Amino acid sequence: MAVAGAAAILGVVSAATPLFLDAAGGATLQRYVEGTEGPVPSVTIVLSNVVTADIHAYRDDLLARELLAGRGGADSSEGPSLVGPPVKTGRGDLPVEVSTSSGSAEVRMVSRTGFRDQVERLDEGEDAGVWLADFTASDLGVQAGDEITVRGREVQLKVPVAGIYADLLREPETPYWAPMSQYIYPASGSDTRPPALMLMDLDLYLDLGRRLEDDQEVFSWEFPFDQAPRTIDDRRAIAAGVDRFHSKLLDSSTELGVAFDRVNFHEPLSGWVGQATAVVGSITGPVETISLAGRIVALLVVAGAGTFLVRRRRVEYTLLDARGVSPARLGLAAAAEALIPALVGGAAGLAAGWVLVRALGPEGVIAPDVLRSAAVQVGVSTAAAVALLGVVVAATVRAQSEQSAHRFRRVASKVPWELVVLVLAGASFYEVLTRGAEPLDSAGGPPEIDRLLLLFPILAIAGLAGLATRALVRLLPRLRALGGQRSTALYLATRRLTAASRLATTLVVASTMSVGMLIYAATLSSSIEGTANQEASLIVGSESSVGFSGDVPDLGAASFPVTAVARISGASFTSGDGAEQMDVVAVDPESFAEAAFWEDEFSGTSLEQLMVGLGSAGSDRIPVVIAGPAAPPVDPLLRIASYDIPVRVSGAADPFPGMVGQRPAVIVASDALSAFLEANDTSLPRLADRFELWAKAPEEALVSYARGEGIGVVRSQNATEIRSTPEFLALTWMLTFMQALGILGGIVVLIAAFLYLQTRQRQGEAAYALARRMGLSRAAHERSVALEMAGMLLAAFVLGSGLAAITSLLVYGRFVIVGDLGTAPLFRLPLPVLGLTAASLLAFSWAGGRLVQRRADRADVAQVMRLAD
Amino acid sequence: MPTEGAAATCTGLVKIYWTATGEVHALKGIDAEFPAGAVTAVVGPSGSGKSSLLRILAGMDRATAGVMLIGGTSVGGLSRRELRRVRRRLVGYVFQRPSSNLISYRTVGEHLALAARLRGVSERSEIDRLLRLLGIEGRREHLPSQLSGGEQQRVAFAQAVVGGPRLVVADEPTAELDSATGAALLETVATLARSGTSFVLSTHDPDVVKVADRTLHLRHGALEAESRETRTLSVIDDSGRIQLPPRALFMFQDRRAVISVEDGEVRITPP
Repeated sequence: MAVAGAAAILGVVSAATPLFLDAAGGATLQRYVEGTEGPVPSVTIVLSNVVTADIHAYRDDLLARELLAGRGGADSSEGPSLVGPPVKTGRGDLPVEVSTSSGSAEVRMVSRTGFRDQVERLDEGEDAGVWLADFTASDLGVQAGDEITVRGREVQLKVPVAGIYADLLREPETPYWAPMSQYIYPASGSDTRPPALMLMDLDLYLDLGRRLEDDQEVFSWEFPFDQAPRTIDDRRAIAAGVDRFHSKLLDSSTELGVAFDRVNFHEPLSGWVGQATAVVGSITGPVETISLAGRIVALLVVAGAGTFLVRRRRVEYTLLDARGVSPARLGLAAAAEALIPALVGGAAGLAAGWVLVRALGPEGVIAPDVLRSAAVQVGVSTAAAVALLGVVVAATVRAQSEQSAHRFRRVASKVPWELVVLVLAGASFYEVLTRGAEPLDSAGGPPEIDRLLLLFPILAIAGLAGLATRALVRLLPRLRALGGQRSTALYLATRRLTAASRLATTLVVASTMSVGMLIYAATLSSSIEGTANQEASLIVGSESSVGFSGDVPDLGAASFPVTAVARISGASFTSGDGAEQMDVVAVDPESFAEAAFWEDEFSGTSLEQLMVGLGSAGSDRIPVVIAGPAAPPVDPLLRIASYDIPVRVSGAADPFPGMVGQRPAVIVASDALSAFLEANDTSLPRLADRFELWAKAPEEALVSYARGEGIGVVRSQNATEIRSTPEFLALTWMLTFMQALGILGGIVVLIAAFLYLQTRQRQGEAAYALARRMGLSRAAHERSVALEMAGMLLAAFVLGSGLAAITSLLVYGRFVIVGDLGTAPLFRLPLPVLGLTAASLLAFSWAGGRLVQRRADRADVAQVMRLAD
Repeated sequence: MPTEGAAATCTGLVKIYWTATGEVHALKGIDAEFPAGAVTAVVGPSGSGKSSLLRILAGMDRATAGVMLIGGTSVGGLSRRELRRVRRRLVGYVFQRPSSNLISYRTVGEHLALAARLRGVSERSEIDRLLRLLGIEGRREHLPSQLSGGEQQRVAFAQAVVGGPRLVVADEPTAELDSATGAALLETVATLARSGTSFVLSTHDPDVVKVADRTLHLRHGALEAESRETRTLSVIDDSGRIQLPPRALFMFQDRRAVISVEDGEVRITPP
């Protein structure tokens, strides 16, 4: 059972590592490909020239042949398809004027494949023609079926109106329209909107362009990448295929190169593949470190199983050794016996590894090749485990065969190996401290996770657990007198614990390591998640936010806390060290405190008090809160654009929601700022870069609320999305992996502890029988076993969780996930995990006591006593 | 000098154990011979070195110093592999507890077949003969748990003698048997000895001593005396040391003596 368990652990560790890494790569890439904001990821080809319908069709054919039909395999005829059918766009680079007898307007002629399904159609006629925004149609006084005049440089054309659609400016940006966003939404800081789009089919667009003699046309093809989940290898193949196509496109000696002369080409996949590969590369080291630790624990269990086997079969091995059977032969026989349980365990481990990665790890698709490779690794690990078992059995039998050899063992057992492990742990920590490398260096690429940060706690916990257990072994005999005199169970448990064998103490060390790995990973995980959540919430301002253009309307009632904020960048103080650029965040003091994200550590004053300070009048200076590390000048003037605003500092905080990085910000009441600006012939909407709504609510709820208030939402975001960067996910997956290994290791150690107690019970049947004859009750014996097991496991729990807390306390501050906002990293003890672990150990102790008692009950007391006599 | 044809001979045998509290001299220069085809009993109080001597005789341990010959082969300088070969081919060993001599999942027949194979013997007739000789022919298919203590110990002796080793060593073989079973077992030993097998038995049991051809008395790791038939002879080692029996030792309270040699006699008297 121990062999099967250890083989299962080895199987899990061996299989989970490649599966996890492949899934992490696939999932990271998938996140890029599925990117919730921005355009659909595509191969984009853009040409700026005038073409006829024939030339356009010729280019279409070429692209269909070379790219659409292309494959990612080495010979271009195999492997995954590169791209899907293109969205073709024709766009006039300059606006054109359209008119009717009722009025005129500027529009931009655009043809885009499938546009009808991507707009809200308000009116639709039977005939072909152009589609106008409702806003334009209103200016022109037309409806579907009417005619408008399109004015070119030299000619005017009558064109029928095929339909009216809802102005895109009032709609949130969608992936379909994202490539056109600069022609739909006003630029940042601009108070005029771009001309509305006049949409039409491609044939009409080409015909109009030719007849209007428009020589400023831009044609593009967006071939979308398949967004269905794929393996990272598939994506690599697709990226390679696209790269081959790109090379051909640039080669003027090819038909493609000639047809697409001076083309603009863009595709994001190669970069994403590179980034995902780098993310995988960055976690490979740490994952392998954890995996190595797991393998070492599993191999230790295998070695323990070997000595356990020799102990259980002491009679057989001693007898055969006395008859001259070589230890090697005994080891070989033991290995052969262990082969089937090990294979079963290995197979179970492979399955468990798959389930583990699927359930807790990244969601990326795992390649069949990787699964095969994982199976091979499991096979090799299982073979290694079986071989190790044989070697351990042979070595143990050999060590026992000649008593003189015991001297070496006695000396060896006194060598404090833990010191060597602790020195290695110290060296790892010293290296981490002195090398100065950030554990997560995401500058210019994916984070480099320092594997020493994972190696250090594993070594430290193992070394300190070993030393503590060694001390306990020395201390325990002195505690014998403390055993309860009133309770038989407590008395027995205390006596057994205080006379704990080496095997029992080894089990405590192994349990401590498992608990330590679990709690360390859980502590780091919750601390990092807490920190990342704080940082993301600071960036977003609250749980979610939406951005919109125009002034802040009067907001109606919401079912959740919501507040409006205006942001102005490029402000500065004119006195003091006024050169420093800062942002101005204009807030509504009435609603801000309730809706914005806040932690008491940000300021000595509560957010409510800071807001009260902002809303207070009483002087000719506008009260402001200074956010950031810099000390404000005395009686400063705040310069926004060319306006100098006298302000008074009513409070300070660092950081403050809405800050961008560590750039200082000035928080001001929007009413007071608006009043000042309007008194100086300008307005807040004119100076503000953007307006936002912040809410303690899900993003969807906020967007829905904003639309209900008539706000044209340009973009929205939430804290969860911000913190869910591939780097953050990779790190949390990795820590989950570590936790899972800790749990699995713990389960195997628990099984080993149970087997140990059961074997000891079997070996001590005579003593048990004698004790029963002397009046020991069955219940008292069962309780004593449960207490003994609980004593061992709780000692491991206290040691493991204590050591894990200490080691994680030393390193948690080195993980910065979202960005350097100047916030102190949070330390969060995983109380639910701690509670669950303690409860599980107690439950196992109780169950173990019952099972051992069942084994004891099977003994025939009369027979035992007869044999013992 | 070892006698030609002796099953085993030890000369100046010393065994030292290193413990946490220091060295323990278990054997302090034993000179003894174990004749072929004879039963030799080794007696002595606990801690006298019986088990150490037997383990060395069985090739299960090595002497710290001295020469140990088993079947004419000096085992002191043998490699582990060679020593195992000596154990496999030349020596049989019987543990004190009957249950320690048998593997729980093997039948009597399988035990003997394994023992014969290890000794390089494959004749089934040899096994049948031993089972008949020991009166356990009906137990061939029985597991150890289905045998009595005496039967278990007889199977243990059968395993030890199958294939005709030069020496069979048994550590207190009757200690866990009742007197009747023990007597029956000793009868078996005598029968096997008559068929040419040499036995060395450590014991506290006077019945064992009765069936022994010679008895070696160990005390404090030294050979105190050797009994042959009705006579007990004190042993003088190469350095001229001799152990006084405890009742004589009582006369020398300050551990000093006057030794005088007169008329062919050596007299040891208190000062």
